[in-house]
Amino acid sequence: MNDMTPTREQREAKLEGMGCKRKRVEDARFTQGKGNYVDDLKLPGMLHGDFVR
Amino acid sequence: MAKTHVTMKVNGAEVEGLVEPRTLLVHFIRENLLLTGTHIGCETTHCGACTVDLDGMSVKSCTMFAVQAQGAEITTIEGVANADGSLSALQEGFRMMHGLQCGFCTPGMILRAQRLLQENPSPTEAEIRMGISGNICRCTGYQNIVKAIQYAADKINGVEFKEAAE
Amino acid sequence: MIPGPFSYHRPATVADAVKLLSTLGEEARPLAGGHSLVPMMKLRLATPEHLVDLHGIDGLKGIRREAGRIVIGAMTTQHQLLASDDIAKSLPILHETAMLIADPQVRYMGTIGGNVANGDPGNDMPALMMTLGASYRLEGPSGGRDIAASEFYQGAYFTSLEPGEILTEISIPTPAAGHGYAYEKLKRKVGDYATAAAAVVLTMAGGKVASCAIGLTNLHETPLLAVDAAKLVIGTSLDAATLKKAAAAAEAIMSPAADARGPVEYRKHVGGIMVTRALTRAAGRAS
Repeated sequence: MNDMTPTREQREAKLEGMGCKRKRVEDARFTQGKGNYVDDLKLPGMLHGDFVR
Repeated sequence: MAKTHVTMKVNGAEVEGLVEPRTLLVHFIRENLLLTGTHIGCETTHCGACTVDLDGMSVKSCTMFAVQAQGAEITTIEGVANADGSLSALQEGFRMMHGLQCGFCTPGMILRAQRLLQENPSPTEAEIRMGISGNICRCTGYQNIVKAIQYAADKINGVEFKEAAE
Repeated sequence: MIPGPFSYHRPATVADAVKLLSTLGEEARPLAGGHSLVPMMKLRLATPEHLVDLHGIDGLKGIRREAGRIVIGAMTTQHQLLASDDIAKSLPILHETAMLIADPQVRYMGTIGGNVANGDPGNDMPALMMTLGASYRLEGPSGGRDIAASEFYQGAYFTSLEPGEILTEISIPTPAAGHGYAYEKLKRKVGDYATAAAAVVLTMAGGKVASCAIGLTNLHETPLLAVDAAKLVIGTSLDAATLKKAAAAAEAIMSPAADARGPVEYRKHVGGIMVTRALTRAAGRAS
């Protein structure tokens, strides 16, 4: 989790009854391009595979 | 292949790099500049996930070489938020109107919608749909993307947004 | 895939571009908008060793009028064509056709010169240029020459361009005031190439067709001028029987490839329908 995702406390503070409208927690990240999809990841020791056709 | 030095402005900052002529602009953005918000979604210039704003144009960055962008001014999704870090009208619209599910097409959609609203600040629904016809979404069915753009257009124009009845 | 390696050149003048293309020979390709060439390079269907980027040449841009003609620089993008009020008013069929090409991003980069010079049977502008009686200006190592659009296309990806030549501008006779026009394009989805498309420019007099030209896109390995179909509608009021005959005459010269857009018979059939729709719509717009 990163600091754009609301904390558990922040989310629980907004709890309403069953069936209430809830905003997704990940959209703030996604709309700023911080989606961290597989091709975006850079991890230490990561290996790359390239297809040569 | 000998590398060429390129310089350009990305999200307001001067950047440079050494690239082969065949290096696509999207690869320069993602791998040299480490701005991974711009996505590669296809091999055929159809999907638009790689859309950036370049010298006042919406451009599919996968169909251009980095060397062609020498001296250009480019905005990527990382440069869309307001200067104070708050979300732009479009980013807020996509969030409020559930205009994304997996989010992969979203950066391209937002960059394209941003230019669309500059071309046409009050587009009709039909104009929005034509305006984003270069961006493909597999998740949402586009309905909420259209609403998100309408939300943003209204917010920018200072008009109250009314969600159309289903 | 990523493209194969190449050397990149960016000349500042037409003369420099011609010199580069002539000396580098067959392994050099001019780069205009790049939205036909780069996708082909990414599939490695095209592997030029040199790209000559034409974006640095000022003389290839702009739209101007010249004694009854509209002259368009080859590097004018589809977006710039659509933004031109003059084109919208005097050459509305060009505006209508540009709107049907690809999508907004592609239209920002794609040029009219690239669309007419590439020789791709799927491109929309070639048949339209033939219908309008346009001519192309070519500049090469032995100087400049003009060639009618109707004589430019030899085969799929095969045009009259000689080695070292580039197309620099397109000259279109301004259509008569009150002319009727239509570009009917059948496609699988927005932005697709044509399954079948027809361009019609005509004039009416007293409810009857006075002049007519019909162009066909993606129904043959080159764009086509449906000369017989156009001739037989002259003097008629485009009644149902005439439309049927015109469609049949157009279908007789079509030989589309069978591909993912449909089998040959289907594409010819809808090609005929595009002709009838275009004729009807064009007549409705004529005054």
